[in-house]
Amino acid sequence: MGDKKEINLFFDIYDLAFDAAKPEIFNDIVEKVVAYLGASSCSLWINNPEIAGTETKLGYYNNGNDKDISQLDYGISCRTMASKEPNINKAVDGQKNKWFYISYPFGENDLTGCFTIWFEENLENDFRQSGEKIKGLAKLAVIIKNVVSHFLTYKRFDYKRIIQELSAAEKIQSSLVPTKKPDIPNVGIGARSLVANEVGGDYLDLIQLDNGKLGIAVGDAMGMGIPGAFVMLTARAIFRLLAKSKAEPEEILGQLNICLTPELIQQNMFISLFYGVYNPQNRNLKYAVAGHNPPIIFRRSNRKMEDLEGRGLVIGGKHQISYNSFNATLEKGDLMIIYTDGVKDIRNKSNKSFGAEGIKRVLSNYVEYDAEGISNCLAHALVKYCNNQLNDDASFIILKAE
Amino acid sequence: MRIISTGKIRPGMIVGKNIYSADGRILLKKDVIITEGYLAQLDRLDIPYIYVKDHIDEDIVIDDVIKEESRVEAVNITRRAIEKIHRGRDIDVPEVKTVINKIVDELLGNSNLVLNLIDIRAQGDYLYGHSVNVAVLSGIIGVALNYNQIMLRDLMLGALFHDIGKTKLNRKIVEGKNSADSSGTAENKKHCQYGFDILRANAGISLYSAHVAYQHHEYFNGNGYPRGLKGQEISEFARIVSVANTYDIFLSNVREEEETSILKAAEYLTANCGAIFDPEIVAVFLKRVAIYPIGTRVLLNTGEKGFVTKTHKNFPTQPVVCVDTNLFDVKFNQGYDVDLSNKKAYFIIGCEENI
Repeated sequence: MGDKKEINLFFDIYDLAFDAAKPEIFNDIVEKVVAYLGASSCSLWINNPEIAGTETKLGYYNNGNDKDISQLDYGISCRTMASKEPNINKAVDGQKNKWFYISYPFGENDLTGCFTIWFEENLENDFRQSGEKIKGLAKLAVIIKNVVSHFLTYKRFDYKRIIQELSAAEKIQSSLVPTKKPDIPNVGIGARSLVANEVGGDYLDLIQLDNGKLGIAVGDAMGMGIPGAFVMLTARAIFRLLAKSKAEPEEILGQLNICLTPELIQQNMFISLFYGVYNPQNRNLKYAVAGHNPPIIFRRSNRKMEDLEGRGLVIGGKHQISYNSFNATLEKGDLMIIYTDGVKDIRNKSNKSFGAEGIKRVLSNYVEYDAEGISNCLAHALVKYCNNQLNDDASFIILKAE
Repeated sequence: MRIISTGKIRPGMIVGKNIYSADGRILLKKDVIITEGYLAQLDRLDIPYIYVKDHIDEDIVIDDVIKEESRVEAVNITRRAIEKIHRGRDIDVPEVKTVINKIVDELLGNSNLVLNLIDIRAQGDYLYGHSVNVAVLSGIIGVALNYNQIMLRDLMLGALFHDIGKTKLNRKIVEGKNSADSSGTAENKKHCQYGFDILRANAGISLYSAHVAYQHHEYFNGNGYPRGLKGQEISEFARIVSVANTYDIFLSNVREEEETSILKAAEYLTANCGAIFDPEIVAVFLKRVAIYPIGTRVLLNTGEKGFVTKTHKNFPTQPVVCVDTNLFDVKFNQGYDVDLSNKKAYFIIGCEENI
């Protein structure tokens, strides 16, 4: 073994990558790696670039040895991707077979992943003694990252088609949507954002505040697509700063309005926003509304849906707006949904819009589930209603008091 | 194995699970290859779905919440008991209690009691299979409410004979199905009173069980029958059986163009909370019903595909999915399990029929 075989491997990999347009090339690439290293199997993973918190298996090769180590491979690869450190160790699978593995991360920033190579246990010493091979891994990591990056970027026309074929834009998470939900006891939270274009203009935020309270924000930049998203990013930055201060919801909206209105007037845009602070201890919600749809509350006691009171001008309407705050108290089992225009404006084939009535109707079919379950069901219902034809971003946050 | 509506079955498919008649005979045997002849027989027997398996999913085993032989025995014993009543004789209560106690033990011994299987039966023997399934479903709710063994037994006994009053009606009620809205003729409604009278006359049956027969058509809002009882006036056993009964009727009534009938049944129960059903009981029940039963092929929001391998009690919408196809549609020989209740960034956006 030496430089020559290593170089051949690298050439082979580049050859495969730049010629083929099919995603199966990743299986072929890891097959080459297995052959070169005398391993049993190899897997290739990436952190899903579109959806944070998920990992995707790009390729796998097993040299005819049918011992299944998929589950083990998944666990170890996830850990490597999380730690971003090489992970070299021994393992025993579910059938008590013994293995030696090398799980090596690659990439940085937007594109990260790892490849995990499996050897029969008795080959461990051979491998550890070969300093060349270990150094070669770092080089291999660079090459694999280049290859994956090329595939995702330049073959993107295929990738996009695949995405479109899937059930609407449920899978594209806009960067304006929280990827991690705060873990707060006695509260169930579900959040979904269905994006009409690739870039979303709806803003959802869940902010963990001091003394256990939860800040919930839902915003809509009227005028979607890229300009809307840019405006929302700015709004979010200012908003988060203000939210962390001790200011009350109505003060925060007022301040936000002062900061953003000059810009918004220039862009001929408005932002509607709802901001509430929920206290799980006493289930009280203090909130302010800037031109946003009134949130809907489901009361378990009488099984009725009601609209939360409270109005206010959209942000960007006037230079100085003074907002009012309102209060609501939830009971155990009550549900609240805050949604953007896109949800009620979704239209079906006969051009009939879903409406707040549609939301109430669908919600009442699923109220007994937890917030996540209800979010799933509502999202499915929306996509089915418009038959995958979204004309505006549709987002919502569901809060269930437990 | 997976469930498939009879309309979609083709010769060559392999039967995944036995289907029994009420007297314990096997009408359709597991592992048999379906032929044209079998298709005709399925039609005659009026069976809406069956479980089939093929090389893709033959390793997926979906367990019933109780043992198959317990269920078969229970159906047989129920048939005998109801026939006895029909002939004017008394129920052999010890025989019934023995099989119910066995089932109670099996339910209590199941640490992850979640409903993944749909109980399939030939419509000709509808009442017996229906009675047993309502008893089992009620038992699941009872276990979730932390009932002890005696309470479970009395609950399930009541559930088993909730429709026994129908033996006194003038039609051949033992065949044929109920409609989801209770068959409302005045004559028909009397089966509640008849059932109560039959059961309370038997010294071996508790009055609580008898009240199930009496009250299982009462509505939570007071608009039910026969007495228009409301809310907590209705015995808890009866409120439980009302939910279980409706759920089972719903699933036996669905035709092939419907999608995921389980979800429709869940929607119906939820939408009618407060009106017909006790919301607390529906909430408890729905936590134990797998919306995506084991074996269902699903599409995830990441674009990956796989099938459900395990359902957690309390999180029926976030099961464990064995992912075997990546977002580029590349299928791997062996999948890996992703637990949706832990990895919150994943959720299911579609299942089998729509993929």
